Amino acid sequence: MRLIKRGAEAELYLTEFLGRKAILKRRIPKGYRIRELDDKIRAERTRAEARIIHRAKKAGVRTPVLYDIDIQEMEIIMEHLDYPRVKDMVGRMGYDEKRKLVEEIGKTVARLHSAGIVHGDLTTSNMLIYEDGIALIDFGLAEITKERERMASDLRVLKEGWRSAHYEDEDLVDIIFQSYENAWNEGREVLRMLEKAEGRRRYVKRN
Amino acid sequence: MNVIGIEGTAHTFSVGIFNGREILSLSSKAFRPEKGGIHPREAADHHASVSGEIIREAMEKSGLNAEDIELVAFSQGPGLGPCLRVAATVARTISIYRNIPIVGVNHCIAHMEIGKLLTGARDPVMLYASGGNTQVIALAGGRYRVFGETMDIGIGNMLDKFARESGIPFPGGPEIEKLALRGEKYLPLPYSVRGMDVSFSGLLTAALHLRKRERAEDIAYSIQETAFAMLTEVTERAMAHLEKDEVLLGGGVACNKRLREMVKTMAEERGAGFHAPDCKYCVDNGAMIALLGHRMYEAGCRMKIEDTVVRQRFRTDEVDVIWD
Repeated sequence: MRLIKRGAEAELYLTEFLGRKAILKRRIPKGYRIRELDDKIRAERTRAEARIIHRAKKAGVRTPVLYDIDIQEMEIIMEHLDYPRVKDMVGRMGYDEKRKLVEEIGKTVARLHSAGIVHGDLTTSNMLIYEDGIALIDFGLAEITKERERMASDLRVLKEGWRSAHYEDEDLVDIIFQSYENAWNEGREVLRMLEKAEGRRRYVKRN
Repeated sequence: MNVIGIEGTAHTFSVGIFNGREILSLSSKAFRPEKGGIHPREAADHHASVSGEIIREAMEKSGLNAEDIELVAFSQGPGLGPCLRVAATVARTISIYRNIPIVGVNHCIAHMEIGKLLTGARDPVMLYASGGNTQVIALAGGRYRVFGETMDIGIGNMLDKFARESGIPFPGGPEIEKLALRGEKYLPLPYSVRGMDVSFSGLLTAALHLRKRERAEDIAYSIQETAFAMLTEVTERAMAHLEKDEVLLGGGVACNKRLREMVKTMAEERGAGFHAPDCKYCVDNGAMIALLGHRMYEAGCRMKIEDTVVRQRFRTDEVDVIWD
């Protein structure tokens, strides 16, 4: 087992499961949180993550296949998706290619939302480019909900994350949202909620 | 170059003197309402009435004469309109009367810059936790960008509001910190993190409901443990996302020892550097305004009096960091 990534809340190990390459994700205890809060959060998120990955896959979103889950150890074992991250690729692409990529992002998020799933951490580190489109990973903060407001806040994370990490391509956010709206008949409504929510933020320019 | 900095975004009026390398003096006075919270107009009246005394005190402590001051900087925003206008008026008066240049600065960025100066942090992710502001900020592409923030109320506002409803006078944060030390039982409260954003209004409502049947000490303890864990978590997430290995604390709530301890533990577990200036430079202060004004002026920033209109909604990511 080889440590491949130490994220903010979990460690990812490259391992094998029944002869296949796999990822073991272990939620590590956080020393800054008191034990009872920490255990509760880690168990809840591990359980939710496994359930949601499965559900997203059923909705036609490419996610890792779930192999095993161990709540005692706060571990999930899943398929290893060996694809490049959107985060690392955007800067190297030409405009047309980028445009196609972000349209794909919009469609993928729409598919996820229409299945009643919000991801919770839609940064470009959690989007992978595979042969047929965009795969999503890290459902650690995801939830199952029909609330459009939650979906709007999912889009807000996407927008802010994109604008911060890819400030040179800030305008592509509009194309992501356009494609999101076109791919799902409730998309427009979610975008409208996003606008409303942004008006509530601090220090937003008002006309 | 000697710079006088005027801070007055919220309940504190403060004046700091910076000579381009070090802070020569700092004098502050905070508005304390007799009961209830901060009314912007009352706070502004307070600032106007103490401004002369605070400027005199800061000048005396610095050992400089009025003619030694070469630049005046002031907090242009974000903040409470009436308070901002008092600070701006004071600054414009000095500028015109002494015939020296004036620079308006962004208050949130001033917290970042003074933290860097005092702690030696180079490129940190800053958790800026104060009454009105709760942001996770870092430098990216020539601007301080807000990676995470509160979606409703600031962490300090949440603490103060809980305190106020419980009969604890303003500011409530320090009193909650004391109560929390005697807390024994953790009471589950909503833990609301979405990506790198947090929200506190649900936690506040739940905590207020608990008052009927639980001890104040246990509630205070549970509020701190829950809310600060949320802040620490989003700060860590920003560090992981940006691949930065330093964390800096700023804002009045960064005086809280438990919050400091939690962020420090997080930093240690990641092998990252932990930085937090003294409490008097975490809270709103004129020294940070002088410092940022100096940085901007040296980098070529010039303002006319017409440019010094206050900006209540001045966002952190609007400013080009030309001095770094």
